[in-house]
Amino acid sequence: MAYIYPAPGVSGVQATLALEILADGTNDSLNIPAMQDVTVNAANDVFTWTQLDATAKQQIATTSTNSIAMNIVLDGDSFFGDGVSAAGTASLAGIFGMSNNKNKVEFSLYLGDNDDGTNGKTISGQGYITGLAPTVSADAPVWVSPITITVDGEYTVA
Amino acid sequence: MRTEVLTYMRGLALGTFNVSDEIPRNESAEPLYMKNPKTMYVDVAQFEDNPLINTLGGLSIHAKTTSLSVYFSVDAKNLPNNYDALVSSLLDARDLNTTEGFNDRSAEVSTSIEADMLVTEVTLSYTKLR
Repeated sequence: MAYIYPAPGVSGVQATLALEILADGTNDSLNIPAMQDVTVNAANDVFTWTQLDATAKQQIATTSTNSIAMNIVLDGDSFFGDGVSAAGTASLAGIFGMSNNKNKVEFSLYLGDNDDGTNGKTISGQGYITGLAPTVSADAPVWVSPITITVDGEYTVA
Repeated sequence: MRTEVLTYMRGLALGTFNVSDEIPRNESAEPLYMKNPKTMYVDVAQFEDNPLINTLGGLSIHAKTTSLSVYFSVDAKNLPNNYDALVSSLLDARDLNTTEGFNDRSAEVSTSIEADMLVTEVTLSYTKLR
């Protein structure tokens, strides 16, 4: 067995997510810090039919609706942009800016490694940032927000 | 925080009570508040640091709680007239330092009988994120 157990804070072992604006023409990518959890949704739709010669329904998997959902602790630079990076880049726009601008982004989710190397799997694709809902409360006065990356097309696993 | 609480206590309507700068126990670990009734002692601050938000990166956000305990004793059979008012005022010490960013404040009173003395302990807790 080779369980995947990312070690928080350990470079090359921890789970990371990088975003890049598809049309920016640079290699700039924004690493999302302080993720609390990540969920990779890859649920196939199912087409179901019945046949007169069968006592059970027939089913076949069809297209899937893909998305990546997570919750993060807000970091000023990554959420609102660092204010110094090149125009049109993810680092300048920040998560909020990319969501506002409806930028199509390339994402790269590194699941983490099961040893101290950098041999873990990466799920990548393209999509849009949706589902932002920053919130704070008196019990936990730290801004946190859910984020969904609505994936356009298929995942690539490498 | 201990200094602020001591300063606050000295500003109360103490009546026959006193406030001491000393911690509540002597070098033999004997409670001074039993030797000196109606003298209030504030123990040294206790700290507790608990994780509030853990993340998949190296960052974690902790809630640091500073707790202070105030001790004093009175004659159990003959409570001073201002006992209730004094305890109520001590509970209000939870609201000290409103600009320090504490997001949680609490105060708790407990009493016990030792010999013929009523020992009162007021615990003040202040929590902020770090």
